[in-house]
Amino acid sequence: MTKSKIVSYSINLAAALAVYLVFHFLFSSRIVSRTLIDLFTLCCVFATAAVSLNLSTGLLGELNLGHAGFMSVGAYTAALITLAAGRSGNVGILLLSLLAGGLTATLSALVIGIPVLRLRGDYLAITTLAFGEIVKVLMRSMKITGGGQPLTGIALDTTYTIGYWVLIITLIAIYTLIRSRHGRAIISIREDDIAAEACGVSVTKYKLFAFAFSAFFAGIAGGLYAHYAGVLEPSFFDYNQSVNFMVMVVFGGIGSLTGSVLSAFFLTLLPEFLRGIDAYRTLIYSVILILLMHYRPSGLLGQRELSQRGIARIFRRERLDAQPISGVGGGRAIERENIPASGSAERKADSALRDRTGASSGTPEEPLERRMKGRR
Amino acid sequence: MTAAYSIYFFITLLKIPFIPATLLAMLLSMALGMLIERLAYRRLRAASRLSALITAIAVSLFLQTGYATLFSPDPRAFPVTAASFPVFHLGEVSLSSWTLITIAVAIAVMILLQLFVTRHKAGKAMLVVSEDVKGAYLMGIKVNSIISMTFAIGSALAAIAAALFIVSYPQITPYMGAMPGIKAFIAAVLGGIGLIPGAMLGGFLLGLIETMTRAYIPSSLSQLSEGVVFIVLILVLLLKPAGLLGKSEREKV
Amino acid sequence: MIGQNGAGKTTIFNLLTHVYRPNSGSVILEGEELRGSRPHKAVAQGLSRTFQNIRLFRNMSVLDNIKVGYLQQGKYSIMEGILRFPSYWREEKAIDEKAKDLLRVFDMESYADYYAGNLPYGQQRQLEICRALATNPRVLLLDEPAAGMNPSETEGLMHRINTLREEFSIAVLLIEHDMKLVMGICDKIVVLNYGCVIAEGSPEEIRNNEDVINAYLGSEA
Repeated sequence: MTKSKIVSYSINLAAALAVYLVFHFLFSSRIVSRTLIDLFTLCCVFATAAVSLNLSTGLLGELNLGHAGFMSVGAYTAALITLAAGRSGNVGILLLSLLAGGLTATLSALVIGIPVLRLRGDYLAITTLAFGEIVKVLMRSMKITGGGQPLTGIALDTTYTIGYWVLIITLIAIYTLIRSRHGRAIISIREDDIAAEACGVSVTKYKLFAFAFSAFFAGIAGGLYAHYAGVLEPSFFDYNQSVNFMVMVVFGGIGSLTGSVLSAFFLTLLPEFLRGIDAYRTLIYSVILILLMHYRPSGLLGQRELSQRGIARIFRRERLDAQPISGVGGGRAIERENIPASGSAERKADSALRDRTGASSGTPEEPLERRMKGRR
Repeated sequence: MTAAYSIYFFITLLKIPFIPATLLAMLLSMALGMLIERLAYRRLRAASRLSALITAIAVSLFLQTGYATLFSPDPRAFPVTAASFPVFHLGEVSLSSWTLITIAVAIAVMILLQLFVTRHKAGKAMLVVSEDVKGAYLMGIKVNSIISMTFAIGSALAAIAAALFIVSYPQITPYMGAMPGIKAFIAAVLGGIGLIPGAMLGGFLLGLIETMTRAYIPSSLSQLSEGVVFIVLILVLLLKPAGLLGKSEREKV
Repeated sequence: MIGQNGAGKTTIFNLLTHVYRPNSGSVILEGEELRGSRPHKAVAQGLSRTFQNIRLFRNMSVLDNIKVGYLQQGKYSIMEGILRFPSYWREEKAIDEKAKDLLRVFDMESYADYYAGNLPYGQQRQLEICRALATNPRVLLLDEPAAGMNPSETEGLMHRINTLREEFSIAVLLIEHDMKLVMGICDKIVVLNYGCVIAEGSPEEIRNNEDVINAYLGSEA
């Protein structure tokens, strides 16, 4: 590790700690209402789910419409463990149950992934949707999970501290994964899985891994949710919830982990701010979505991350466009959308976009577009 | 859903009989479909799958909550039910003529659509546009018109489906279309996306499987009947990755 | 390998790299039979290829594209990567240097941080070759590398391929339609027509082979 890396990492860690301390003082000083504290915790939980979804949908490039199913598995596993253990307020048992939740979610991802990940595009998307619904039905019909009735009495053990730090750990884990050779392999699959295979990437292995890794954190998020809400209903983790997380990922920027965090917070808080106009909340939300897709399809941060370099640029008042910040392959040359590459329909859309914006593989001597600084 | 509400209001407020009401609702649906395409989807033609998906979901959310706000989310009873149609008795089996009508209409519509797509110039243009938009432009096909037409046809068919649906299940709510919508997508994928006979096959199969499951599964496991559709889908796709009638095209390297 | 379009040249590449499984017959490299069901195994066995339609990782940097090629030579595990063990730092540094060296051979150093999708066409083709080289192959399969290049670029490509053979000791199997390139650098030419080999030999022999002239070259070759 070079010295500059150590410095850089320390700054990031210090920043995470600083943010935490700010919230900690705010929350423990009673200035802030209980509701807001709870909201913050929920935001952390959902942000964890969104970041994990970004791994399978944004970075691997596979449309996953059943993410809530993984959360559900994790949630029920964790809840059942702490219910069996009987004691509440025990952080150790909570963490253990979260781990168990993550592991069962990973297991279910492997079970569904091994047969299903060779499907492409639309077909894979619909099977993930089907998976989510099957999980919902299973949870509703098994006696151990309440048999159609909500599972109640779960210890309310998720504090903002636990929520925050789990989120940070998730972010770090996925971020470091992506900036390693394995992460490059995963992204290359999104870009062109046939070429990736031809470069020595075992597409099956990495798809399965990314899928399972993403499910692991989703399971943990589910466990966190269970101990946040105290009550679990199978219908909470349905297709609509999966879509909610998908929207968070797209809104924040596909491939941008910090973007997912920001958008998770924003989109979870938004209904609260719109509470005054309660009746029109969802209407406004849907209109915002449509406008977002039309005018900023790459989301808040595009492929970029909130990084030291980016913040430094803001202070130096350089045009953000001129020097795109990195993500992996980050930065924004032309309005290049991140397009999941599996399935021929995506490739057609990709080539249509490239043709429309004038960059095409068939044109020789294309004038060079902007420079991009890679960040390792 | 919007078509169902239209038919409902035509019948109850304007006292128009069922079939004319359905035809009028079809026209309204076509207009709505084309409007939505123009406003919400046209700009996204070159965009990624995901953007289009999210926009479509947002549009459906908008419609559902819009109707709920405008017309109240309380369920309404649809006045025309299957009982209004004569019932045949064949030995011990009683068969509602409405069931027969539903099946007949569905098959007729599918046949017409398939003929349209394979024989009529506009229908064939539709297939071309779905294959290669740029090539379609170069061949002089008015792509915008064809896409609008596609949405119009789809919406009109949805109106017909609504009419068939609400007579059999005479309860209208703003959220009534959500589950049928998902099942429609599943049926289309099951039969092979992009194939009309496939969609027909998928639809019939799904309906049969779901009804049979609900009929024969013991009530203790009744919850599972809801999941059966999804399990069937996964199993079929594992055996035939491009759907029942689909041909799995290996991308030429 | 030369021949009409549709003669089966790319199909042979696909067979060699385990994209297709042969109904009969086998692939033998340096005396050992290559067996495998997935293309990435072909890479492990020393075969690397480029594509007729350029397949780059467009949203990744040029350097990252090449680094993907080094995947199989890396050793640190997923966990070691996440936890940033010393092996991670060591290997990443090594890969970074190797990748930059490779770019230097092709005079593409200055492009290291560009989006692969933004490169000019000629450079994109070169990048694909670079990436294939990163996998340290014994045999490099190039599928129409000169397609769409102007004469001076083709000339540059010829020099590059020669450099490859000499400096890297790699065998190069070429599919090409550009006869100047083929006759200029190939030691041996195989001619395919309708899935069958109709001639094999040195450029001289092929140039004067009647079957080949009739089937493919035309009398002006």
